[in-house]
Amino acid sequence: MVNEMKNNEAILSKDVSGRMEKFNSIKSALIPFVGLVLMSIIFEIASQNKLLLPANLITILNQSFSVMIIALGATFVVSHGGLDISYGSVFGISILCAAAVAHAGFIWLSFPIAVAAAALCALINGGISVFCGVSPFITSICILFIGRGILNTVCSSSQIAIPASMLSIDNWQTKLLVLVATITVTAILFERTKIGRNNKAIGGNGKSAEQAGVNIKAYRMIAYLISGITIGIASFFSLVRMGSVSSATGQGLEMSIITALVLGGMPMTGGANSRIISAIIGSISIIVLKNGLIILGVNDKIIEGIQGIIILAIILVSYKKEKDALLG
Amino acid sequence: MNDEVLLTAQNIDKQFGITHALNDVTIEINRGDVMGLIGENGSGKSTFSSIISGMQKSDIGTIIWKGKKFKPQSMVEAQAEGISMVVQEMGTISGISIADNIFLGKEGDFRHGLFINKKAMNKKAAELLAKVAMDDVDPDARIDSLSFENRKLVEIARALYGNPDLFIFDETTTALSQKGRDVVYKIMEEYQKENKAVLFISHDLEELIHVSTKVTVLRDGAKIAVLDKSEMSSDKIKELMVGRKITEQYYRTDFDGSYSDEVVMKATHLTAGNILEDFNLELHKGEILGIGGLTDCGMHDLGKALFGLMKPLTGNVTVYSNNIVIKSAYEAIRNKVGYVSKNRDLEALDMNSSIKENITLPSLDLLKNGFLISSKKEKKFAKKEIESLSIKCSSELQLCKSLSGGNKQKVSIAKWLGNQSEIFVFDCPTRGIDVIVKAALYQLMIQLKAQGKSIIMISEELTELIGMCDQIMILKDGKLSGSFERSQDLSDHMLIQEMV
Repeated sequence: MVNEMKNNEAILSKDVSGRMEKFNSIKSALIPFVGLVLMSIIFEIASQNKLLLPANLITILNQSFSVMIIALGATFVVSHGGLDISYGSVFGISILCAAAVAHAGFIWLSFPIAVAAAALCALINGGISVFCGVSPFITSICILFIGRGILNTVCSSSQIAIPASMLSIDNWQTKLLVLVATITVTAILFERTKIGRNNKAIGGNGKSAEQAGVNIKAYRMIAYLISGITIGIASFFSLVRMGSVSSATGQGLEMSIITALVLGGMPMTGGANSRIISAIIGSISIIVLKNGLIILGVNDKIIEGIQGIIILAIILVSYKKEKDALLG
Repeated sequence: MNDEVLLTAQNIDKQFGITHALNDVTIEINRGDVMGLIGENGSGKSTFSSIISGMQKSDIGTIIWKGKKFKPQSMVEAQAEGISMVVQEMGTISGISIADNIFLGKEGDFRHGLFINKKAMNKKAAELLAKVAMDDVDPDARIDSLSFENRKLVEIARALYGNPDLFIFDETTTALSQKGRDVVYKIMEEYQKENKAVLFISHDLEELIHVSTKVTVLRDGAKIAVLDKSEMSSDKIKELMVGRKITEQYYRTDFDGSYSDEVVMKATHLTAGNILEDFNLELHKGEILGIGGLTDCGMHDLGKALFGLMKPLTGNVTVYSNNIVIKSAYEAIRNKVGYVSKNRDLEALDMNSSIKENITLPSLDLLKNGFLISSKKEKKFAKKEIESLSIKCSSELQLCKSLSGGNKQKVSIAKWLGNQSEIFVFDCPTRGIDVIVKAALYQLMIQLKAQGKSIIMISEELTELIGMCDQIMILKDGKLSGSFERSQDLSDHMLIQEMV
């Protein structure tokens, strides 16, 4: 009788804690989402319903497009614990190659060249880190400088412009389509194939991943390849929007990507809590924040400062350390 | 004199969420006591010791220390009052010297004005090191130059600083070889002589009975019994820990030691790691092959080399069914070899992932629908293994870091049962695990053998090698020094002679 009661108790508590775990596992993804919704509501009210006007929504789509596409690919690298800050330069180099090809008249080659150039840069970046054992952060700083150096040299005297006919590719319908497709493909690769699962396992514990048969070098390289491809996609659509490439193209983009991932709740050390949704929520969040401040009429010059403060506040709220440690 | 009470922990109660870690526990420690504390994994031993040593606070209850009420706010404060603990999994900090490790947070004791008197600090460190049989070590050397075992001894030296009246060993001996254990036993003896006291937590029943003057048994967070020296017996303690008579068998009861002639894995002229040299081994279908020796005899490297984690300098490892030379863990797994590392927390599992993610990782290819991993299949797969090994957890989504040691070990073994491995390389599979889980693992090995699977068991525990293996190979300084067939007449002693 007593035993039976104990059993019932055990079953009851098992049920409760099972649900608790499910909740805990999605909690880290839920907070950034709630933050984005709250932020949107505040801006919507403060701007007297300007934030969600269709015209402004298209602006938000245009502005967040590049950041989100790149962040989706970056998720794979971050999930295995690789911190990469070369995005801005790789993006610039990729645009440069695509523009040069288009300028020479091979318009149809422009997109594949953009993707190939970015993928190659990412593979070099990853290859040095993976095969030479250099810390990914350091490698990417070097790639960042080298890429910027090339851009400064090539674009020093003139901008390279593309044929005007290409500008028609820049429309929100196409971009929305590309965005949805990229999200779908990356989400599937990340959650439902070994590519994502193994990269998360490497970020969680490289040793245990190796002992579970994960080919660590190969899967890290695949992550860089995916990251490169997404940079290429983003850079092509940026090119057809801007029409030309200059030495400043892509400058500072790396910080937007990293901020977006952090805001979306992505752990910078990678592991089991890495999620595609973080890239999506995070990149929309930083754009809505910037866009919201602009439509509120905040002075252009201090927007960055305010952004920094707000982002810090969001991070302080959402990144809490675990308090309860169970000993026994 | 012996009856003078040193510490009374009264009605200690502690809850973590829904887990009642300690339930109204009262323990009294007299001067001159070596109080053994035992219970299954998760019975509250570590929680209790962490409360009296100031690492955490109890929800209810009082501690009387030397006749006065005592509420330590931190480990440093408790140590200043004379309660010192060697923590189960803290470790040392690499990159700094041995002396710096010993006096971490207490450098102020050696301050002269603005500066720290390094000389005095090193001198004191040398004194403490001498107490743990490390006279020959330079306290100014970097801690990284020490072996894993010696680092644990440095932790003991650290806890000895300030001459505490109550010394707590929380599963310290698990990480130590016989030499290190002897150091611990000597310290305990001295404590007894000096009329101080020791709280000793260990899973090793024989050791506990041997050194303790009293034993407190915990079960599910409650105190079950306090036994005097005369009342202690291995069977009685086991019974109290589990709450029923243990009828299951422990080790194998047969002594015929038979297995098939078919060779499934072979190592030829294997030289790998720092010490293992020209080693040959043949594993047969249905055989449990034991590898024993001192901890740095090369047997752990051997385990890694057999699984492709360590590149052999010469020689090779072949899996016979496919006649394939193993060059990586990936290949080993494809040829149905599984490996459980000695270092469970750092190597075998990703602690921040769920049980499910850990169990399915080597088997993701088996869980696909077309190209994609099926979450339904994953869940089913994990649940099946959790059930068959009776892993105590709230659900397959529970994170591994919140599991007890024994259940963590079950998860790391479940990985290889799930993907239908034929050959198992177990490196110290029962290290730091309570008797109940131990018995379950032994039963599992017996079952695997009966199914025709083959096991290599690397272990520092001679009794379990004798109890479980068909053949035992003893390594000494990286070379085979003796090998034994299964027999009723084998004794620890015969094996030890080959080891040292």
